[in-house]
Amino acid sequence: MAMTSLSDMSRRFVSMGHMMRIRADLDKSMQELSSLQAADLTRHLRQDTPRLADIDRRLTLNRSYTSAAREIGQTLGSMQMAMKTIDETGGAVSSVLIAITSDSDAVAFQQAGVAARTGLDTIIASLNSRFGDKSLFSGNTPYQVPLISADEMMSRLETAIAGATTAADIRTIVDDWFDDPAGGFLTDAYLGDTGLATTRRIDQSTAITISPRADDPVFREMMKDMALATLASSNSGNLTIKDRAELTSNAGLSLVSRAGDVIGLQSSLGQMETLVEQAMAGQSGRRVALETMRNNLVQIDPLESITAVEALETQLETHYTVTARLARLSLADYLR
Amino acid sequence: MSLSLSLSNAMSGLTASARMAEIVSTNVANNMTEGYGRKEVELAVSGSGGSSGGVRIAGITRTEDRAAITARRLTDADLGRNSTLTSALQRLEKILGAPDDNASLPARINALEAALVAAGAEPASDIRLSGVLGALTNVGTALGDAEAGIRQLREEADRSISDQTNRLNESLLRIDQINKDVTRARVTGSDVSGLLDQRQQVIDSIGEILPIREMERPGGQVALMTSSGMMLLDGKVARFGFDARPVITADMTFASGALSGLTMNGQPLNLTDGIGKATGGSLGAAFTLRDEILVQAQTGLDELARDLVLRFEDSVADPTLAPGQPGLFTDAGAPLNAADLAGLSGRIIVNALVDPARGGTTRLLRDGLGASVPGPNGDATQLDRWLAALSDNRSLLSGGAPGSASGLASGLASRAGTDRVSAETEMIYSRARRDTLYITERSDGVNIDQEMQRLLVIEQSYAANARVIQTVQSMIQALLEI
Repeated sequence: MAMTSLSDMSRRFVSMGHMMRIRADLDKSMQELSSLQAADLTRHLRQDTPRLADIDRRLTLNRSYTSAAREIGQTLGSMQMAMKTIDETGGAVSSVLIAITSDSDAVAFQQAGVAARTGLDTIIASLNSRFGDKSLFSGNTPYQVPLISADEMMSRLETAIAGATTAADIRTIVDDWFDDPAGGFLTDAYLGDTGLATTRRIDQSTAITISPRADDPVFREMMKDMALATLASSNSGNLTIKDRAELTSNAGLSLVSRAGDVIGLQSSLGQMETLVEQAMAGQSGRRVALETMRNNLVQIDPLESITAVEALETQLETHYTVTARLARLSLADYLR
Repeated sequence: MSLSLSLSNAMSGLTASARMAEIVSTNVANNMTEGYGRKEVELAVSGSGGSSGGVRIAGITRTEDRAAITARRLTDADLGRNSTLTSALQRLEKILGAPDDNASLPARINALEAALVAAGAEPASDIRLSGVLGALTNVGTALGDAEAGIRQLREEADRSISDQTNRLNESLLRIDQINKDVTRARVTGSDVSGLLDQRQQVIDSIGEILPIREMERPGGQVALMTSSGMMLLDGKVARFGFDARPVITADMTFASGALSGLTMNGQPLNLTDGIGKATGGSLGAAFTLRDEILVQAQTGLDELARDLVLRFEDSVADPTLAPGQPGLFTDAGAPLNAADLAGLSGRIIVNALVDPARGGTTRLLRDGLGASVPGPNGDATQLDRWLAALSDNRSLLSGGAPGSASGLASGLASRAGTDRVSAETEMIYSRARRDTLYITERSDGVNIDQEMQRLLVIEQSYAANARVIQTVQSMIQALLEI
């Protein structure tokens, strides 16, 4: 009799094949469920693999630039605080100095001198201020404190003006000392960098210039004015009262006119701060967008995965039941 | 005398039943054997003498579905080819950088860019400069590891060709031997089905290596030919030769003569690709891997290395560089040699000038490699230039869309990924075809239920024949008692 029967081997092969396939699908679905991400990303993404790589690169850069911008922003903030102190000091000292006339008494002169000297101390201390271990106003040499102490500066100035007899002479000597490239300030008093201004990149397309530095003409003028007033106050022997009063009050007037320049520096620093904030806000927005794009590319719907897992589980259980049942049906068992 | 005829008929019945039981036992014992053909006994009436005779065993037939076997063997070769390619491409994809792999080459280039940004925010910090050096070193290491990985795959392919060639030779010799045994057994009239089972198993084992066709020859022998027309065995056994190369470097290719091809009976099969018409199975796949796919991957990797070296060996990226001076990435310490690209990815190494462990200083990362005088330590300009060099859109030597350094690296990786997915799809298809044909081929195999049923009938038949003998015996006894 012609009977077509499925041989044991082929039946077993088919059955095992089914089981392996269901198992493999189940494992894959379980893995996707626990990681919420497609198991085989290349297959899942097909043509989009370069896009994912690009998003990952941009996210890495985004994180780095955000950190960098934050650090630079903090540095700028510290600089603004120092500049505020300098501005206020200039204002306070100038109001004391312009009150001095040739009729002022010795006490007033002395007070003016103290005010000027204290003011110089404060300005130099502000310009020497640091954030972490880096000096804020020394340009591209942040490990170098930019200015010598007020004591040292005054002693050098006093040496420089020794022998000068008129106010005009003293003013000229002090001017030269501060402004001449071979004068005492730029050779001995200022220890920071004299090259190009510091530039920092805060974004892939934006770099800012941090220009305020201790050797800026604005600061030099302020220190010059306060030094002159200090010298005028202490130099009682050589000059007439009239000359001393003139030096002092002119120093005060000069300080007043400096105020606008200081505010100018503060506002340009403020512009840089704004750029940094804008960069950080932009980075933050872009990061959210990039992360969303990334999730859209790689994530799988958990509901789909759960449904798939349940369906496969049922399928596998059914397969096990059927296999067991069929295994029990054997003629050999019935022939006992 | 009819009584003795009855006896001899019954005896032949017993013998036949016993033989049938033996065949049933063989079938049941070989229920799980691959390549076993289910045996059936052919019975015929034995026509000795004038009147009806007993039963005679006309022969033992071995069931086999020739058509299904032939078709299945061809899919075996296809599957062998596709699974060899797929497993190698899976490893190649991991070597070049699977997506989402933080240690991959593209990820390390991204980390280098991040390190440069961080250093640019605080150029005076030695820690950040060391971070840049570390990131540079990691990129070099990733390139070197990838090159080593590809080299290893090529060596494995070469070894596999050697193994398969040996197996092929051994199997052909065995088939030849079995052929001769079958002819001899046929002549002496013994049962050849065991030999046929063996022969089928050995031929199946070659089926993965090459796509083969089996042809009948007189005397129960077979001839073997590849589906492309190469005669492997036809009375004479073809002998294949191959020289293995245990160590393969990037510059060794078949075209350069450094790698061996297949020879058949002493003659090279093909001077262009080394394999000629012996393609289509896992042997051909190994050649394809060794000489095409992996060589292409190696070239892509070397072009990537070249691009990285050139990005930094550039007077725009580093104005302090003297002409002819190597940049941040060097070819074993020297500048790029345009004539010697093969294996560059294995030779690439960070310039010793910036590595304190080799007598250099990280200061040069900030000042430029040719800067003899230290610059101000807060200056981020050079670091910024290097960052720009990495982001600059350039093309690889062989062309293609321009991209950043990281983009070019991930382009290489994603092409490997796409190839892998295609190969996997092909393999799944091959396997499905093969499985279907295998099931068809095996469908007329041993079925225990069938054999048990047959055994029942045999038992009854044996009992009945024995009963006949008993009866005839008692009849003769009755005669003798007269």
